Amino acid sequence: MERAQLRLALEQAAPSGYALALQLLGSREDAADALQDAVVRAFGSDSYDPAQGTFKAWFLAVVRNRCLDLRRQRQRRPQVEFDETTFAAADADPETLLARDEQASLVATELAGLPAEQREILILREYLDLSYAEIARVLSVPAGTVMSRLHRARSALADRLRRRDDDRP
Amino acid sequence: MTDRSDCDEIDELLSGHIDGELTQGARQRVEIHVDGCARCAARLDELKAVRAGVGALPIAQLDRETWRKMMNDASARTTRGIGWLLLIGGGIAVLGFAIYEFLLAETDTPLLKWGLIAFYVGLGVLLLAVIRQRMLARKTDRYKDVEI
Ligand SMILES: [Zn+2]
Repeated sequence: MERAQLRLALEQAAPSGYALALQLLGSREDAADALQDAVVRAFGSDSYDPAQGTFKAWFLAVVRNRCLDLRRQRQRRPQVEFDETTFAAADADPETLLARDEQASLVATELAGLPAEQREILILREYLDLSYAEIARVLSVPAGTVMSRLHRARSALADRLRRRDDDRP
Repeated sequence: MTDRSDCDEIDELLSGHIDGELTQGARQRVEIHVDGCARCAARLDELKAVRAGVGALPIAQLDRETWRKMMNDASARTTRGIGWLLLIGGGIAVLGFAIYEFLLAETDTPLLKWGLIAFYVGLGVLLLAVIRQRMLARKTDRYKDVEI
């Protein structure tokens, strides 16, 4: 891949990489470290090869591997970071803002309660909108297993959210 | 009313249906079933709500400034790597040629000739030692993925 092309591809993939790293590591600083390492790798000699699927999937796989390395090194339990500043700019109407705020923090809390593998596949599909083929690449699992893994994760989150709703007066 | 075991079979396919990842046959099977089964229709809505909920999460964004620094840093590293490679490669070629010419040249003072040879060989050994040390240091460096 040419330098200018690579820069463009990185520009497009970086926000996804950061979001994934943030979910896996739970800290902005660590997420930025993982992303930095992945960017350096992209410029290096064993960089992306189009035969390996989309650039985004390749890049996310590199980010994920760095995150797993960092997590092993630091032995730290990830905490989900919840950024309130992104709300404020997103919507002007205070009432919808409040409703969304509440719903989003509910989803974030229940998502955080799931096992890491389920959290991860949900972020890849629901938040980053990857196809099953791309998810298989990122997680290095057989493509045929993505649907059942994802479905289990969705069901688990749905169960938790339903239980929350039932608890309400 | 539809059979319960039919519902269990269809359940996982509901996810595939939401994601547009089913074959045409499976898609039609899901659609026909959901049309006639209120339970699975509700389940489909619930799964869609999960997808929408996670998709709408406000996950923090990387700020532009940090990203720019990251890109510049990474690209400077590789450029520097290429620079070193050219410098060392070129230096070795020039030195080799100089030694070759020098050995061929006729001279009346063998002491000077062998003295100079010893000097250059020494220089080469030192250079190799420095490179080796740098390579060892690189192994413990967290940016070891970069090739120089
Ligand atoms: Zn049914």
